[in-house]
Amino acid sequence: MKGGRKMKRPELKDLTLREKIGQMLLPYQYNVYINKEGGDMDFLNTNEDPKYLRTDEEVREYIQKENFGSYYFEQTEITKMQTIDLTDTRKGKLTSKEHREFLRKQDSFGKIPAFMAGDIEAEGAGNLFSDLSIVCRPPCVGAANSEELAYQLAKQVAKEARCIGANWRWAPVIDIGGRYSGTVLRSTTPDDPDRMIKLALAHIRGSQDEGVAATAKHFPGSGFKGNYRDSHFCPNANPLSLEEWWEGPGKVFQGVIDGGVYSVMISHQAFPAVDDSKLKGRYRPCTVSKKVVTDLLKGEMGFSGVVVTDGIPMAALLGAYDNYSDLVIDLVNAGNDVLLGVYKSAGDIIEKAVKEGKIKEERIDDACMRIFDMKEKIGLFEDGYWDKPYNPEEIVPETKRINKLIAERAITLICDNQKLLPLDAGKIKNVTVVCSTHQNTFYDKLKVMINALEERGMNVNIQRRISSNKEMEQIAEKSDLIIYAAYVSMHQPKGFMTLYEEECETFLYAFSKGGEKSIGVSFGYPHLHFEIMGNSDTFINAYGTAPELMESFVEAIFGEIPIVGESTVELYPDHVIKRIK
Amino acid sequence: MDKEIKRKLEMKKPELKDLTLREKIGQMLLVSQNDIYYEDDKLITENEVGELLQKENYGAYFFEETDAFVEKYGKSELAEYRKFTEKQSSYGKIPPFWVYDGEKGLGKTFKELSEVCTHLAVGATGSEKLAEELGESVAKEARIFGASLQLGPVLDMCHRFDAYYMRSFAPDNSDDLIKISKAYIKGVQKAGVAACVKHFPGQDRFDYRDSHISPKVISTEFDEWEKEQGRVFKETIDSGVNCVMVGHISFPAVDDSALKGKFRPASVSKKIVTDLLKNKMGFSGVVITDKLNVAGITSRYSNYDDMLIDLVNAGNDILSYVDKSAGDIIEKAVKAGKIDESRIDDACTRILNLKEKIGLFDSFPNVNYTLEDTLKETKKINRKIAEKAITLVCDTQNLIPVDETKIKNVTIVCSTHTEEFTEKLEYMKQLLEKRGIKAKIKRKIADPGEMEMVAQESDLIIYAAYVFTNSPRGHMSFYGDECETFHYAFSNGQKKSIGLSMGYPYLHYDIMGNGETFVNAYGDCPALMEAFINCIFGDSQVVGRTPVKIVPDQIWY
Repeated sequence: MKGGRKMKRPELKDLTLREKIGQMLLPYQYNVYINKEGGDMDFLNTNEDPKYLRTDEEVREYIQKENFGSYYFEQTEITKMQTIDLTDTRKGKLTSKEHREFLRKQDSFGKIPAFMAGDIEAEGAGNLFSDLSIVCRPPCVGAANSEELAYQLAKQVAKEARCIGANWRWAPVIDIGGRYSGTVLRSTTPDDPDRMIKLALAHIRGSQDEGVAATAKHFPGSGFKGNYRDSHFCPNANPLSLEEWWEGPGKVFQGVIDGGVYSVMISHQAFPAVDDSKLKGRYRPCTVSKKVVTDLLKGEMGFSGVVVTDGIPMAALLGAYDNYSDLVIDLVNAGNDVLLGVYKSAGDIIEKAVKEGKIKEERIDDACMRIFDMKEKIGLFEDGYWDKPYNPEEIVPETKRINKLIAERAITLICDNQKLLPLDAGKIKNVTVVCSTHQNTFYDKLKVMINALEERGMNVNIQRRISSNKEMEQIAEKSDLIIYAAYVSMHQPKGFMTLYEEECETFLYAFSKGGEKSIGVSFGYPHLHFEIMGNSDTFINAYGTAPELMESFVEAIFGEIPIVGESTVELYPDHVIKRIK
Repeated sequence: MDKEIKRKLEMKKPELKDLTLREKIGQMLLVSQNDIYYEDDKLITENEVGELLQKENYGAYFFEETDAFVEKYGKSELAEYRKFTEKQSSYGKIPPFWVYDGEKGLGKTFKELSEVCTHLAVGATGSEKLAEELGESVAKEARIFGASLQLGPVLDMCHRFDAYYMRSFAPDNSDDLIKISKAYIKGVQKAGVAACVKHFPGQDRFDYRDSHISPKVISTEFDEWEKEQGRVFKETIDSGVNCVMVGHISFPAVDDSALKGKFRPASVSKKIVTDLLKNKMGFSGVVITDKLNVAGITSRYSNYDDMLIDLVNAGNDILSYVDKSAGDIIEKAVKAGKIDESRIDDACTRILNLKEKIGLFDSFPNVNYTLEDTLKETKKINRKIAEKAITLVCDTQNLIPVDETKIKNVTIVCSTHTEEFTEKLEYMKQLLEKRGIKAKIKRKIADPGEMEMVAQESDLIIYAAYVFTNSPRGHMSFYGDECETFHYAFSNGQKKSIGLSMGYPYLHYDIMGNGETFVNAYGDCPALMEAFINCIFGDSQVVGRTPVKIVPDQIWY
C-alpha cells in the first residue's frame, strides 16, 4: 500500500444520509471480515468457519456500502481471523508494523478516513504486540504522583499506539470509588478525585499531543465504593444523589472536559438521580438516557467532543431490550455519536428510522460534525497521514525509561511489622516464589522477577500453589526467603476480583511457617492484603505486571532503591477502619 | 456386639481424682481420624491404634467416613460404621464424643442417611416447629451410629460476601435467628445429641473476610455486639445449649491485645473465652475451638507449643484438629507450671458432666427406634420445609404459575463451580419428565448462537445456579466461564425464563439481575427441587419469606 487517499474534511451537504450514519458506526473487526448475520447477538464467535470469511474485494464492497467511521482494532487477530479477548492477554502473532499496514489497507477501502480505536488502557499495547511495551498501570502513575511522568508515559503509549495504526484510545479511566471493581486498577487514584483530575489531564495532553484522541470513561462514573456488579453480566445502578455526584465523579468529568478531552465514553450503569425512568422494570442504562447523555453531558457540562457508547453487547444494556432496532434507535436519540460494537445492520436500521421520523436528521448531523471535528484534530484529513513513520525500535527504549521511573516510585509498602526490609542479599541463597493467580500469563511474566533474583546470585524455585501444611513446612525449611507473588485484575478472573478455589486454598497454609522470612506482593488488585493475604507481616503493592515493576520490586526489597509509593486506595473498608487501623 | 467390646464400653463416670493428668488432658483433645490411623501415609495396625488410644485417651472423635474407614470396610458401609465407632470407643478409659457437622444432614457423609435443607431454607419457612423437628430427626439418625455431638447450629451474623453467610438460619436478623436456633437446638438435644453453637463471638457485619485465611475482626463496639450478635449467643446459652465453639476472629472491643502485630484471635483470648463467655455470660458447658490446623491461627505462632498453651489457658475445653503431639506438649506445660492443673480439671469436669448428661456412661448409646422410621420422618419434615422455603424474588412478567399443558420442552441451564450440582440436577430433569415434559440440561451458554438455539427449542428455560459456602472457596460468586453464561442469559427467550438460585440468595442481585422471574431455593437437596417444580406449575403456593434482605441497604460495604 502506498499513499492512501487524500481526503479533505467533507461538508455534510456533500454526504448522503447513509454515509453520515456510517460515521457513527463502530463494528467489531469480526463483523467486518466475517459475512454471517446471525441472531440479535451474533457478534463474537471464535474459530469461525473459514467459509464465512470475506475476500478482500468483499471487504472493500462492504466497507464502501457501510462507510464505517471507526474500527475496533483490538478485537481481531487478523492472520487467523480470530477474536482476541483482551481479558486473556496474549501476544499477537503480528508485529506492530504488519498490523499498521493491515489497518492502513482497511482504511483505504472507505471514502472518509476512519478512526482506529481501542482501549490500550491499562498496560499499553505490549500484551498484544511483543515488540511493544507493557507499561505501568494507572495506579502506578497515581502512586508515583507526578504529572510530568503521567504526561510522558501517555505520550509514549500514544506513540506505540501509532505504531500499530491506532489513533483513538478509550483511556483514561477516571472512575472513582469502586473498591471491589476493576476501577482500583484502571484509575490512577480512585479515592482521590482532585489528584485524579491533575493526572488525567496530563495523560490526556500526552496522548492528544501525539495525535491519539483520549477518552474519559465511563460517564457518569461510578463514584461509590460498594460498586461491584459488572455491566457485562448484570444490570446495575449508581445510588449517588446529584449533589454527591457533583462532589466526586461530576467534578472529575467536568475537569477533564474543561481541560479539552476529545471524547467521553458512556456507561451502561443506570443513574436514577438524573434519569429514574425505567425499562422493563429496571432503571434505564445511561447509554440510552437522553437526560444523561444530551441534557447533562452535552448540555449542562458543555461537552462538545465525541460521545461513544461502552460496548453494546453487554448484559446490562441488552437485557433492557427485546428488540435490537429499538435499542439502536434509543442509542442514537440519547445523544451518542459513535455506537461501539454494532452488529447486524445497524446502518439500515438507523436509515429507516430517520426516514420514518423516529430519528431526526439533525441528530445524525450533530454526531457527524463532532466526529469530523475530532478527525480533524488528530490530523486524519492531512495529506500523507499514514506515511508518517513510527518505528518501535526508536520508541520502546524511551517508554522503558519512563516506565522504570514510574515503577520505582510506585512500589508501595503496605506493612513491615517484622522489620524484614531491606533484606541483606548476601544472606539469601534459596528463594521460593509462590505464584497465586488465575492468569497463566502472569506465571510467565514472573520470569523477570526470577531473573532479577538470579542475577543477585540466588537459587530460585517457583511454586505454583501450596496445598497442605506439609508442603508449607517443606518450603519454609528449604527457603531463606519466600515471596508470595499474587495477581488478580479486572476480568482476571472474570467475576469478583479475588483468588478462588485452589488459588485461595494456598492461603489456608501460607505464612503459617516461615512467616518471618516471607514477603507478600500483589502485582494487581491492591486489596489482596486485606482480603486474603492478611497474615503477611511484610507486604508490598506493585499494581501491575510490567517488567520494570518486577525489577523495581526486587531492587526495593534489597534496599537498592527507597520505597516511596503512596497507596492510591484506602486499604481498609471505612467501617472496619474505624476500629482496626 | 462383640462381648469383649460391650464389656469395655460399660464405662462408669470417673472421679477426677481417679484420673491421671495425662488421662484428663486426653479428654480435651480432638484428633483427626486420619492422624490416628495413619503414620507416614501408611495405615497402622489395629493393635497400634489400640495402644495409641489407650495412651492418649482422646475425649472425642470425628464421626465421618474417613480414608481409614474406607480402607478397612469399603466405601460408606454404614452397617459397619457403628461397629467401627464402638470398637474405637472401647480402647480408652472414658467414652468419647463422636462429633459431626450435620448442617445439611449426614447424607453427604453416608449416602443411606438424609440430605436435608440448608439452615437458610429453614429460616425461609420461619417455622420454629419445623426447625425443632428437623434438628431432632437428623440427630436421631446420627445417634443410631453412635454419634453424640453436633457441631451446629451456626449463629454467625455476617456481611453477605462472607462465606459463612449461607450457614445460619437468618444471617442478618437476630430475632429470627434466636427463635429458630433455639428451636433447632432443642430438637437436637431432645434426641440425646449435644448441640454446639458457633462460632463465638460471631462474625462481623462489615468485615467480610474468611477467618480461616485472614486475620478477621469484629469491628463493632461491645454494646452493639451485645444487642445483636452477642444476644444470639446469650439467648441460646440461656436456653441450655451444651457446647459453644470459639472461632479465630478477633474482637478488639473485648480484647485489643496484639499477637504478632495483629489483634489476638478469640480462640486464644482469655478475656473472650473465660471472662466473657464462661464468666460474664455464665456458660457452664463445654467450649470447643474451631479447627486449629488453619493459617488463621497457626500463622500467629512460630511455635506450636505456645499456641496449645495459650489455647488451654484461654479457657477452651476441647481443642479440635490438634497434632498427636498435643498430649505430650500440654502435659509438659502443666508440669513446667505454664498451665495450671485446675484449668485441666475445669475442662475435664465440664466434659465429663456433658457426657453424663447425654448418657454416654454405662453403655454405648442405644436407641429404641429404627433407622427406617427415622429416615421416613426426616423425609416428611424436610419436604414440608422445602415447600415453605421456596421464595419468589421477582416475577415482573407474571410468568408464574406456568401453564403446564403449554410446555413441551424445557432447558435447564446449569451454572455452578461444583460439578456435583450438575449431577443433582438430573433429579429436576426427572421431575419434569414425570410430567411428560422433555427436559435437558445445558451446562453453559458460551456464545449468542447457543443462547438463540436454547431459546428456539425451549418453551421454558430454567437458569439453575448454585453457589454456596466454599463452593467455590472465596467470595460467593461465579468466575471465569461460569460468569460468561450471564453475558448472554435472558437476552433471548426472556419471557419464558425463570432464574433459580439453589444456594447463595444474592445471585439475582449480584449477577443474574436480568432475570425478571426469579426464585430463591437456598439449597440443592432433592426436596427443594421438587418444591420448586411444584411451585412454578402452581401445584403449591410460593410462600417462602426471604431470610435475608434481597437488595442490600448497605451497598457501600
